[in-house]
Amino acid sequence: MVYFLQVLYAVWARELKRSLRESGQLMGAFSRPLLWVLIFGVGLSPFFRTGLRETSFLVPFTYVQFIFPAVAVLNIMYPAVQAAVSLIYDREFGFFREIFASPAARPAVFLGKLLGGASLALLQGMLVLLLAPFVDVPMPWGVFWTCLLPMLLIALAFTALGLIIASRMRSFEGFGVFANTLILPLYFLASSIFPLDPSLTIEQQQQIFPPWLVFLVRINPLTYAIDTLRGVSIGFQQFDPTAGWLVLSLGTALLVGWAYYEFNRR
Amino acid sequence: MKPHKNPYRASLWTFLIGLALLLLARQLPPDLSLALVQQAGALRVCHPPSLPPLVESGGEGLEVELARQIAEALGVEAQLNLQVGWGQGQDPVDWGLRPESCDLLVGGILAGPETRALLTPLPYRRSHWGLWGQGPKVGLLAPFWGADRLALVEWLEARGYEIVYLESPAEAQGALRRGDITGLLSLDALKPVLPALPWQPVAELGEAQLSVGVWKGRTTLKRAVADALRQSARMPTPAAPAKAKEPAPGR
Repeated sequence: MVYFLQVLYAVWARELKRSLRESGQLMGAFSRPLLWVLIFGVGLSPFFRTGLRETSFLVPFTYVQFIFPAVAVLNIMYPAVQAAVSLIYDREFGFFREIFASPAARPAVFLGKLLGGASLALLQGMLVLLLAPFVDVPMPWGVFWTCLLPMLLIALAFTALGLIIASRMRSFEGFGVFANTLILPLYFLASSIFPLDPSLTIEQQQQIFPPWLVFLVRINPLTYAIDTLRGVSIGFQQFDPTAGWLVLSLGTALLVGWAYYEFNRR
Repeated sequence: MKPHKNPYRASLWTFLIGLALLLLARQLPPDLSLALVQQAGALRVCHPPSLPPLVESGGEGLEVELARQIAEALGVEAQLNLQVGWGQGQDPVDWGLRPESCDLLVGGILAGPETRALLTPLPYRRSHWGLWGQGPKVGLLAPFWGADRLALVEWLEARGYEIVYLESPAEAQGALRRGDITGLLSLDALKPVLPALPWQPVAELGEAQLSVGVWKGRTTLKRAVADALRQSARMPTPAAPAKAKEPAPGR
């Protein structure tokens, strides 16, 4: 057991050290919240202003408050998926051949990689929370710690997703293109930057938005993940909170299980 | 021999610069709402025609006075803007209030889900629901924006009282004097203008938070008004005996 933990720690620390040496990744971690919250959020806020008769429905938040949890999720998704690129690197340059020839248990190596990527992603997500005073979201310690749970689950889920993609990819370029192709549609179809009116039925929502859009948003598991974080951070959820936690927990468990299967298979 | 280069140096610099930028961004004003009020030199205060003792005709009342204190704290004049449609009908959307004509709203606003849909209510005083007199004919006086009238009616019905709906303290006084009602359910904030009958709080209905309102999204103005309320709470006046507590968005 001690050896298992030693291997896990070694792989986890290696992931962290390697990422921390790359200043480019850190630039993204800071530039994303600055761009999305300061420019996108503030720029679009006047069009979302919820005064009287200015919107078709009323919601208890401003636009920048609405997208704030989604920006935290975006800052988790990118590093989480990118962390898995090291799997291709390790496979190409022989690190895995060496480690798998050693008595190191595969589950320990897998968990080390998973937790390494998730830790980095969680830390980058936490950076966004620093902007809470700017967007006027009160963030007492109780709310801060509660936010970390859905953020951790999202970090684990997307690191696992990255590992699944990396397990099936042969080149770095292919990984980058595929990851972006996956991340951006998932993100934009997660009610991250526009709300579905929670007081409306699905039929009524389909009169405001095209039915295909409502359908895609509703079947996207990330919708429920962002919604759960929105619930704990700004106190507003569009969907049933139980469904949010259920989708988030089950989705994470499923992706981690699938990632372990792929990791073990190669 | 080449000197050893710290592999984390570039990342450390990136981290420090990024962190400084984030902390700097926190200090930026997210909107111009306060600047516009200061530029105009006036805080436009929208209020209903009358809700004594909070708002009285002729630009008086506890909340109007509080609005003046807020304006003074912002370094501008309070410009009262009477809203004749305020309270005319159940849906506030029909009252004719316009964001462009009001910076601050006062006049019996209670913090709650209904008011938070449109405003950022900034509570300045706690008030309790209570019963003057007793049944069987009880007047319901709840001319407050954000009051949960359904809960009040359910409470009265559960006790088998006959409900008489009242719109103003003056109407309540008249009804009590004539014997049209034997009791009255309202907030204790209206005590100064209601007859001196025995009063008992209704714990089941909880407390309400009387608030002033700022349109949602006007963050810099909201912060300045909240600061002014905190200052006001430090110097107790009839209008500001309780500490102002800032609500979380949507919470």
